[in-house]
Amino acid sequence: MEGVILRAPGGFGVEMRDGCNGINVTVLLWAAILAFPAPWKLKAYGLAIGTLAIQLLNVARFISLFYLGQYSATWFELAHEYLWETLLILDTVVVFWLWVGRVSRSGALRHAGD
Amino acid sequence: MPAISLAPPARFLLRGSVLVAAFLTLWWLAPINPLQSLLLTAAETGGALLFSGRSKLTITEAANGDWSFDVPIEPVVPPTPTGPPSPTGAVPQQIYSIGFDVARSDAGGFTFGLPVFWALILAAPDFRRNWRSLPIGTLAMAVLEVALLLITAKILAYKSLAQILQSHDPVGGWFLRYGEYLAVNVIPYLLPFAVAITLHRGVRERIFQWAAPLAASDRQAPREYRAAKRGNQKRIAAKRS
Repeated sequence: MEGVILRAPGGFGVEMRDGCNGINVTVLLWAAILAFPAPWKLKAYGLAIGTLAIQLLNVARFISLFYLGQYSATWFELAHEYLWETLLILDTVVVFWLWVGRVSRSGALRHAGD
Repeated sequence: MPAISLAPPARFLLRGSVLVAAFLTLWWLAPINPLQSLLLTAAETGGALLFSGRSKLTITEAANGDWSFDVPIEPVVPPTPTGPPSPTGAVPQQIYSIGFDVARSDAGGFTFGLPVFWALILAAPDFRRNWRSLPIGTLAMAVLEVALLLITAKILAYKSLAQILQSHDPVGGWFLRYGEYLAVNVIPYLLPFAVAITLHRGVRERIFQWAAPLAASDRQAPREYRAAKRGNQKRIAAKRS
């Protein structure tokens, strides 16, 4: 590790820049949870667990890109630009879905007009 | 071996991940991307209707995969001290179009939405009941991606123009940078999810769970109302007798 760069002995390295840290989808999840009609305690729970889930997946993404980049620049581009970006959004949607299910099971689900 | 039963969100995540990976790999490996050719043709046709002027919108793909745009905008460019000397002296110049290149990695964002949308719809629960969302969503995605490409072309043309004019307008510059960021880095990724959730009733009702009880109560309301009315009439009849 060199600061925010993970570098292989062969010279290939991946750098964790702004935008690579999953903050964009984290902000999306926070906006969805905060806008949803649910008690604040459950919102805080959703923000904490959801952020953790996204960051864990983002670490997996970072490590997989590190190894993929050493294997093939072409496949690295596909995974970096399109595949992992889409999977992170899919993960965020599912985290939100699970959280809404938790809110619903707790009996605290309020309708938008309530 | 007992069958493993997964909760709907976990099943959606697993099926969605596998289908997204498979469809994007096919999209990536296609030697001649039909989606890209269709998008470029549709954008040029749409551009001819939207952009008026002497020249017309052209988009060509270079050998390295970058896209070259020629966007018709017709500003008058004032003479600059760094510009080429003119025999008639320093006079403003009328230009008819602005050309610029978009890197392959950014250009791909305008075609990868369709495979992602198909993967999401096929991974969603109750596909048989919601199969119509596939053709309708495909059409919607195609129209929206062409519109997004045309908007992006316009933003990038004005951004290039601001550089040519050496504009120092901070507000205008911020809006152009923000518009470019949304059009290239945000909307192409969110669009397939937004269209899938909007069109697929099963996904929408499961994710936003307030929709299901509200819809159910709406359907039951007239029946309950009639039942309550019948009850009242029975009570009134009993009192009278």
